[in-house]
Amino acid sequence: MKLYFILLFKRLNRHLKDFGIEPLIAYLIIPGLFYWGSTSFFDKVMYPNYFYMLIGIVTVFIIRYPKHDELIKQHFLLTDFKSIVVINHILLAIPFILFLVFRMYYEEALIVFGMTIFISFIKKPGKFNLTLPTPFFRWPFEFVIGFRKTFWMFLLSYGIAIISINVNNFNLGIFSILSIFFICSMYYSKPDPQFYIWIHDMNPQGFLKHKISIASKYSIVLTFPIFLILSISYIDQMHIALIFSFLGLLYMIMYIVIKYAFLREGVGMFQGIIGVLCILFPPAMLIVIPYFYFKAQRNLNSLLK
Amino acid sequence: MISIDSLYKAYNNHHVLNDICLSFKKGEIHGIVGENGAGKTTLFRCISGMESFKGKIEYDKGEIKNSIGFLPTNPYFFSKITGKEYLQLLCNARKIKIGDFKEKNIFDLPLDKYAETYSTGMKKKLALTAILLQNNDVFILDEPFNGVDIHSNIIINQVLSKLKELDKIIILSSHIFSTLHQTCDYLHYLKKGSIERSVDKTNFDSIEKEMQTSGIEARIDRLNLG
Repeated sequence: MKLYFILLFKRLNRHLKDFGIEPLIAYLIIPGLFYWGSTSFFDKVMYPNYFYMLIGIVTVFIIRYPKHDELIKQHFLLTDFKSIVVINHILLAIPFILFLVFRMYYEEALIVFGMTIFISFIKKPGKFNLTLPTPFFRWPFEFVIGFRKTFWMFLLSYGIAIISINVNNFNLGIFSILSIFFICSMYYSKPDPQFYIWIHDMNPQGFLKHKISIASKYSIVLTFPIFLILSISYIDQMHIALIFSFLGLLYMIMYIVIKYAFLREGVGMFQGIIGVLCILFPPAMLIVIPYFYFKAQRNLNSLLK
Repeated sequence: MISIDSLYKAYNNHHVLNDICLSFKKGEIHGIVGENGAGKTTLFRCISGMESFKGKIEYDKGEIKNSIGFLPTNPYFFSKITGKEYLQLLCNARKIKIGDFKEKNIFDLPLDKYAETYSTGMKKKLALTAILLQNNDVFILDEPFNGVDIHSNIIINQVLSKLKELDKIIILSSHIFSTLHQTCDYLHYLKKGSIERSVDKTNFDSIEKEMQTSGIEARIDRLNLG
């Protein structure tokens, strides 16, 4: 069991190194960030002790790996297995417990501790595998997968569009349009496995055009209901909605070209900063998109002919 | 015909493939055998164009990449994508239009279920179905029989015979000698990145014996079983 925790520590250090942070620095920064985040939470939220307690419990409940537990169960003695699971969960809960104790919420700290032990002994429910139908089945895969993972976000966006009419706030309607493009941009945040690029009978230019065209068509389909809703009250301002849609579209296209410009690295912190800069100063996209488009094209040359 | 001439592949200073010279003609089934780590998958990836290499790979019908159906050892499937959508994706990629995937579902796979929930064998069968639908001229099959049930093994064997009849080039790897005996016309023994021997059907046994005598017993003895 001792070796298990030594390996756990080694793996954590390796993950931190892969992420580009020296473990020693991370162990100094992470508690500081956690303290700062928790203090801000207590300063800004009503009934913070209850919500904080809930966040602690939910964190322990969510961060569980059934396959990992299964492997440990197969190879360790039952008592050791139980101890490992309980200690792992306590390690997750301890920052929350310590902060609650620091703030003198002793009862809440005790509840988080008790629930952590309880969660350690209950089985995590299996994955929900009902196949959700999607309107994007003709051209898998980004929108098929993305829609299944984020369909509830679209419902929220459409809800915001309806609220914008009820409260007579056109800006809220614009926000709902932009939110759709923002969600769709996130579908392009992970690098494709090499195989899924290689299979295409296209040259890099054709491949990028194909990806951009599918994304544009499908994201426009998703914003269409918002246009319908907004046209009820703001027909004379629809040109503004169209301008913002165009900006949203450019933003999503930027993420597509960035994805393939950083084929092996994935969309990381640097690319995220570019994304934020382009939100603050949209004309920057006119330089960023062509630059990363050509970089993506060069990157794809080795896989597509 | 595919001709491989003096193919070398190295990762940093580690040589994975050394001076590989092979040729594959249409209507032939070639088996590549060798221990784990001998370089089989790297060779397949080089032929398919997924890896850069030194040397020459020539294909008489032009660009080889878009004629290859590649079946990886462990096909990767995105989460939340159904079997049918996977087939659609691979057909779209090669601009193949298929109206009814149910009719093409020769392995009776649950195409409306998420592919990630499939068993190992089912995943392999789905990946194989997809490349068969792409109308490829060359098939590279890395461990096509791995994890697949007996009934499907028979189907795969028959599919291979049909592909041979249709003058396709088939290159496969397998650790199951009996399947290689049955399906292949030629065997190539890859050892530490080099082709140790290439034989036709009449000499398959010699390769099997050579692999068996390469110190296996001595290795087992080191475990001190018992």
